[in-house]
Amino acid sequence: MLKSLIVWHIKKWWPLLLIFTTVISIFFVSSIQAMGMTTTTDYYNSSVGYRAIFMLYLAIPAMLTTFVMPIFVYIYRTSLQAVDCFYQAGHDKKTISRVRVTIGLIIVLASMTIAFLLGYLLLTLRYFSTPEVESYISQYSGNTIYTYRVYYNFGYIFLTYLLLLLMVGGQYFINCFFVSLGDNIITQIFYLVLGSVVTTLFLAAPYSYSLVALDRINDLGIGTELMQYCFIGFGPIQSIMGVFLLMMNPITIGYYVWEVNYLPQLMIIVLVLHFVFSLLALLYTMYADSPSGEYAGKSTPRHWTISIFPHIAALLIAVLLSILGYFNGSGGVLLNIFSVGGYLFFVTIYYALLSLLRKSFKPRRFDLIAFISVAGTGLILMLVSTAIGV
Amino acid sequence: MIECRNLTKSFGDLNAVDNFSLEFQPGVTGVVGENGAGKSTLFRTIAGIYEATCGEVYVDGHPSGSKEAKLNLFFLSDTPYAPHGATPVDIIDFYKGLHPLNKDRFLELIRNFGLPERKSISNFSKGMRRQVFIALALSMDAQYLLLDEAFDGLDPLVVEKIKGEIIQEGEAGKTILISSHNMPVLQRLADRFVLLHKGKISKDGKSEDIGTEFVKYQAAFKSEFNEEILTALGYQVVSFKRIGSVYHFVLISAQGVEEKLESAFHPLFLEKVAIDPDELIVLEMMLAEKGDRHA
Repeated sequence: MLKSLIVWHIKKWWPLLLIFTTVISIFFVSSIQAMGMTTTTDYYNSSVGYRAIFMLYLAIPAMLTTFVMPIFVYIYRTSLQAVDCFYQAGHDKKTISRVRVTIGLIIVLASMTIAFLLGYLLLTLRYFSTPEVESYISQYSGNTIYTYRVYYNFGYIFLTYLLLLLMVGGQYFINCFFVSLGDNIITQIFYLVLGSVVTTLFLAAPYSYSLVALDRINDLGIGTELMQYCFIGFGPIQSIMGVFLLMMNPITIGYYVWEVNYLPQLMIIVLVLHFVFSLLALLYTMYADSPSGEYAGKSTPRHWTISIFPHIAALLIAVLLSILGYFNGSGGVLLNIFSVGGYLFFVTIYYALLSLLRKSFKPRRFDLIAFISVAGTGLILMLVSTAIGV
Repeated sequence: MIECRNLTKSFGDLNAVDNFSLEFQPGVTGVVGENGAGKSTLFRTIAGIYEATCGEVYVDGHPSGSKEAKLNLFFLSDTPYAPHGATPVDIIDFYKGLHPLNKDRFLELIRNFGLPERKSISNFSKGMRRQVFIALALSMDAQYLLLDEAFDGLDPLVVEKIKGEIIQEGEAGKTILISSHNMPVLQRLADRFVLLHKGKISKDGKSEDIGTEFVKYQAAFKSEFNEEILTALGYQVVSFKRIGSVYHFVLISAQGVEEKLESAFHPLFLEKVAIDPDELIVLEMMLAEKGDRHA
């Protein structure tokens, strides 16, 4: 029975593998095809790390598939018809979920791997068909110009791929976790975007705020240095950045590209945290109980912890907005008409999205209290920021 | 055996199934009630799709929703799920990953019903789709079948075929729970009836016990006559209607009603009439609706 379930899912979803592989391959293979295999006398630019940047064309589309696949994995929970069918099956509800999550993971990782192997093969062919060193006389200047074959360390590239595989797999579980919180397509997408993009992107906001405030109060003099990391979160973008900074010549290239001290080290922290979040998400998606069938298709959150989730995301954004004045040099946001307008815009969008999520412009008491609390907290933080000169 | 103990399933403030305690033994049981009585919710809770708010359900001693309970039970909802563009053959291939079943039996039933095996069911009529899923339910290697709105959209010829198959399954020792609004068919099929009203058991009994206490009259009077007169005389009125100048009413325990009406109202005629078997369940539902009886 389990074998039939697995076979059915593979038959049903193999077009996704085809689509994902095609999309990733188009990006990755064409980027390799477009790469120059020789460089001029600037030997520095042929260093390993800098030349590994083409792997971004593998990482970004592969990361995108981790946002698409979980929707297919959890779509069966969005209609009572499907829930009637899957929840009464002669398996544990967890088994159904595990089968779908695992096959989804295989599709995501397999499509990335196939695309990588295609690109890797092309790179190898192109690399070894390029002459070692050539020199020619420039037809304009008459000078002899030396061209070098760009150096590629294939083992290093493969290692980068393995690390990316780990991060993409981890992101897939994180995305699965957020999608599993929703009970219809709209809420699933909403939680996915909210969780995997907004929250992770702004997770460092409270930390940043405290940092700036402390620096202003105590005049520690470390603000300028540390403030560079204010916007570092723990999302998919940061994890990709982390992999590249780790795999490139970390200190020199990190500084060379972003001109930020300690960024590569910070990125390692990001990677480790991302890995921890991934493990937690994996445990949740594999071991948590499926919700009762009556929630299928409903927009009302099935638990208060899920109700509060959009408000947490909004709070993080509000905190971040309250310190924006520091960056634009306005000397406090309340003095900056653009920031006040920006905050009002945020509050309006917050209310509109909440109404869309709950399918009603008349929020429930819980939502109303949370909305007022979040909007009020943001406003108070703005006042505090102004008072302490942030 | 399916055993429900003080089962309650609530949606917000509404108790769709309210303190329901009952055992279902082998044979065919008709679960009836008006729309919103809690039939589908009861089936879904037994099948483990909904989690009970209070109380327990056991299937052969296993808690509902457990793998052991679900392996031996199949619930056919009123709008069953089929993968997009699936043919009957695809459906059986899909469901065999979810339940133990007999594919040959399914294909045999599909042929008996005269349905094409390899055409997408999205092109089928509602009745044809229903036949496919009834065939699916009857092909399950399950001791317990819960069939929700089983005969909806089926023509009488098909119903007869299906009825025969269900009786066969029931006689083979399976426990079959059927909810349907097709009372005549259900009445000929079920050994036992459970009448639900607002989530509670309103009546539970053998088919032959249904409506035995009802007495139906038809009468015509010179003067105005109404339901309140019968109530004032101390009778429980289940149904009262006037068609032209003839009154039709159903009472419970109508002892002495003829004498009382003859002496006080001098009817043009007053006669006891037989109740159509199809009408009995409807009368039970009407009685429940009046709130006169709760188990």
